Amino acid sequence: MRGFLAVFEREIVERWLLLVAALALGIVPLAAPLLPGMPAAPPSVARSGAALGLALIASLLLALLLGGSVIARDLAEGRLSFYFARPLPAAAIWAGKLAAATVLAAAAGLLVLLPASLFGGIPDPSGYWGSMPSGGAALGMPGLTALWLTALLLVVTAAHAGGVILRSWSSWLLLDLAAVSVTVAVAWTCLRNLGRDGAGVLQWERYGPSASLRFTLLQYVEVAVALVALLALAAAGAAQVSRGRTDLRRGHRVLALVLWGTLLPAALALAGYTRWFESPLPADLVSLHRVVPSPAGAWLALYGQAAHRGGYRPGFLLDIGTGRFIRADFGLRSSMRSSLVRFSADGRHVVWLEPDRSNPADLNLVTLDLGRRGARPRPTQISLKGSLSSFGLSPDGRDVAVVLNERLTVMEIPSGRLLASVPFLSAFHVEETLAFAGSGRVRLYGLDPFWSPQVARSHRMSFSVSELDLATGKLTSAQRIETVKGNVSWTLSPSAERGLLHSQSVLELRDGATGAPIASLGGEGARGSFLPDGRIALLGRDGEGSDFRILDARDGAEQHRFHLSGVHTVLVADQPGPDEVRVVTRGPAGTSPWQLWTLRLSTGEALPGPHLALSTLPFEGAGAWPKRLGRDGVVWFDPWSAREVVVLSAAVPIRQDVVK
Amino acid sequence: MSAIDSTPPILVEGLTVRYGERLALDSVSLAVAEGAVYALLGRNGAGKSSLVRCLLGEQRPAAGRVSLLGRDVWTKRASILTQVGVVPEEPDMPPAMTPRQIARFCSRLYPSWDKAGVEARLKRFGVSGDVPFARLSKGQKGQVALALALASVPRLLVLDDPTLGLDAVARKTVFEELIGELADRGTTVFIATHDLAGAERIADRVGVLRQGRLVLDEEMETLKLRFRRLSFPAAEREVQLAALAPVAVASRGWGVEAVVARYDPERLAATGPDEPEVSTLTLEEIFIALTGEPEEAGR
Repeated sequence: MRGFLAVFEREIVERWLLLVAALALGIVPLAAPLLPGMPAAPPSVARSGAALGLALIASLLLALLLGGSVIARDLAEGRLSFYFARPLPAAAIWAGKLAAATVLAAAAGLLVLLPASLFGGIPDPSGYWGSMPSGGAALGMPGLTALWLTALLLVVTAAHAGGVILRSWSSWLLLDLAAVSVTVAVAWTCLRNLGRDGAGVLQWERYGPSASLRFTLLQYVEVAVALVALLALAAAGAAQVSRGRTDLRRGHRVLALVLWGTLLPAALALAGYTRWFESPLPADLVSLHRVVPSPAGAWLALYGQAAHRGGYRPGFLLDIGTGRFIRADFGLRSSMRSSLVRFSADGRHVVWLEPDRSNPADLNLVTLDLGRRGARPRPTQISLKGSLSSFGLSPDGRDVAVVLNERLTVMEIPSGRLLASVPFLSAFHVEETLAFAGSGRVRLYGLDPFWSPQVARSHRMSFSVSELDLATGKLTSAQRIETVKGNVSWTLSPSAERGLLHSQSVLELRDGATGAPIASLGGEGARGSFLPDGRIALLGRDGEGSDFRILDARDGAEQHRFHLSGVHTVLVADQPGPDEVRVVTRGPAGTSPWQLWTLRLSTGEALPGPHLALSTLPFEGAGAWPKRLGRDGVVWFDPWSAREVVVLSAAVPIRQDVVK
Repeated sequence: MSAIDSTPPILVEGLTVRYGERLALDSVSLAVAEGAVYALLGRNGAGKSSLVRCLLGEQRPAAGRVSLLGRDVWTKRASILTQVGVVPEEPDMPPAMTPRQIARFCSRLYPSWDKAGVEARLKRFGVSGDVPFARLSKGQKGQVALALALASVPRLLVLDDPTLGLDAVARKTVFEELIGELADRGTTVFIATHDLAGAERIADRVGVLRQGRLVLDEEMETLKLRFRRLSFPAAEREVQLAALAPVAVASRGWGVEAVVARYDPERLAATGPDEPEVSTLTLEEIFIALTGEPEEAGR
């Protein structure tokens, strides 16, 4: 310690003039308000901003210069032997000199700030300047100081290593260049990929009143990378002084061996961590943001939060019949209520949008043939640059429509050919649906409920329908202002000719082309959906059980009615054929098992099937639900539409028992 | 007496130093006894400075080991150097610091420090203590280095060509200071030098390095006893000379002059009828005889 203090003090005393120069430099920001372009800012802000910028530049520059010279220059000029000829441990020489360089750099920064702070104060660390380095989480003065000192230490140790390497100028320089290229490339790629995947987003669970005090996983990783780099540089510098002593070339060899012997494995570990981060299994999901079932077949697309992966929302295409899954990145840019994954009507094709690897701001369209076993996701020529607000897939899975950069654009997926693109100055819609109607038409439905103070507990709603004729390129739009109650959602029929408007107070059948009401299908609590053949399945409940009705989509006229006694919950599963609809039911107690029923439309028979091992997927806190995934399928509650969706495995048998 | 106490203050064993392909020191072994003055001689590039760097633990040898005061200098350098004074070949003090500031810095590192001694020596040398080191002459820099090396009251003094580039007066001052130190304290001294006359005045033992190999390591007294210059008046004495195994032979106008490394009057008498003129050699003459010729000199 005595040796360290002696070296430290000597370095400080030898360079005290630097501190005087820093104090003199601190007078410059006082003139900042007089500079052109600054009149908009208050003088104190201009002064403190200029002083802060100058202080940062001065301290970092000084850290660079001193770090690169305090040892390396003495070594190259043969003056380090002065220390080694004294009873000074190598560690004291290294630490004393580099600590002095860091302290001088830090003190110089503070002295640059001093005059401005006397004339109006320094920037508030809890304000904009203070929160900037942490990406939104205010660090406060201690955090900022620690960050600043860490940065200075990093610069000093890196400059020391650089100074030794350059002054040695031996053939080991080639190894250094190769190793630094590999390390920087790996670290940059990993951090960029982690950022692209959402590690830089605060975890859902962490949003809340204290969110501003939290840090993202990416920030923790960045801090870890910086600390590892700092430790490696410090260890390498210390080893260079300790083992190389006054021999510059030998010191360079030792430094290179320690530095790259630490950083290359660390880069490898970071690459391994990134690979692990990007390779979650469905079992790693801890909460679901959305489940999108295929219209046919047993595939479903789902995405949510994975354990220990920050804000990463991995997506999976999951075949619940076989348990096979394919990881896909459609969850990265999907929101809680709007996904970027679409199935074709036959469930054979799926397309999704995922951020580009090298430029995460761009979205690339990827396709997958689900009908072909072993098929892999295939990138297309379609890449979207800009602000995307809607995304739709034609029923045959060949064309894609997007609202991008205030244009409605339709493209052919296999060739990437542009089919149509028209200006579309849409306002932001709370809920937006883009759909392909028959005869080469593309429709965009926009729902914008807003609360009206005149009508208590009611909402006014703007419901707009825009239609693009692909043959003529003509765009027509219509808007309706209506009064609704509660949340509103819009469900289109497979052909897009009809739609169901759900609200808290009413379930309405509407015209798909104009949005005009056709029939009211029920009051409060009524629930309905379209069957694959376009008819409407309407669910109701009375005291004894539940009613399941099939309605004609043209006018809402009832075609079939089934009463299921003792049944509390009825969910439509699928439609194996034109005459059959399969539903799953459950009794009033939430714990009773799910049961499969086959409803014969032509005869009115309800055929009870076996009890099913269905797993219910709660919205959040599902834990390791896929491990409990039933062999028969899943039931998922969609919080946005307030509907439950059931997906059955293809292996679920149809029972032959017939009951009244 | 402990085992450590019986170990010579300087013990070099099989020391080998390489710079890439070049061999700077080749299996050098030597020992310096307590209180002795060892002068290491050698031409430029012979490996003297490499040996001194290894001796001070500044450089790790490719093979072999160096122990100072009974301990391995590479691993225990810092603690050993509390008892070692060092005068480098090129005075390497921080250029902006004055001798007094340097002395103050050094005084914090040693268990004992003769502050008054430093001041007295600086005064004796005529060196100002308040002039930045960079502004001192080369001789003054060396004198400051010597004053600092002696101020720690060292048990061992290592000097790497302390008189290199100094004028005759400065050289004399350095050696007188060393002689005074030796007389006062009996310090063990290791001095690598080109100043053969100076070394001859103080050295008990002499080592000669030639192309990295220690070709001579001997007590000064015996060295001077066994080396003689033989002057034969007649020119044709090849047979007689060959029998004496001279290390150097030179033809002069008046005859032949030879230097023999193992002078033996009886053997000389037996070689022939002519009695040559026999004279003693200075250390410088012995050194030239040993290192001036390309072929190896016999020990």
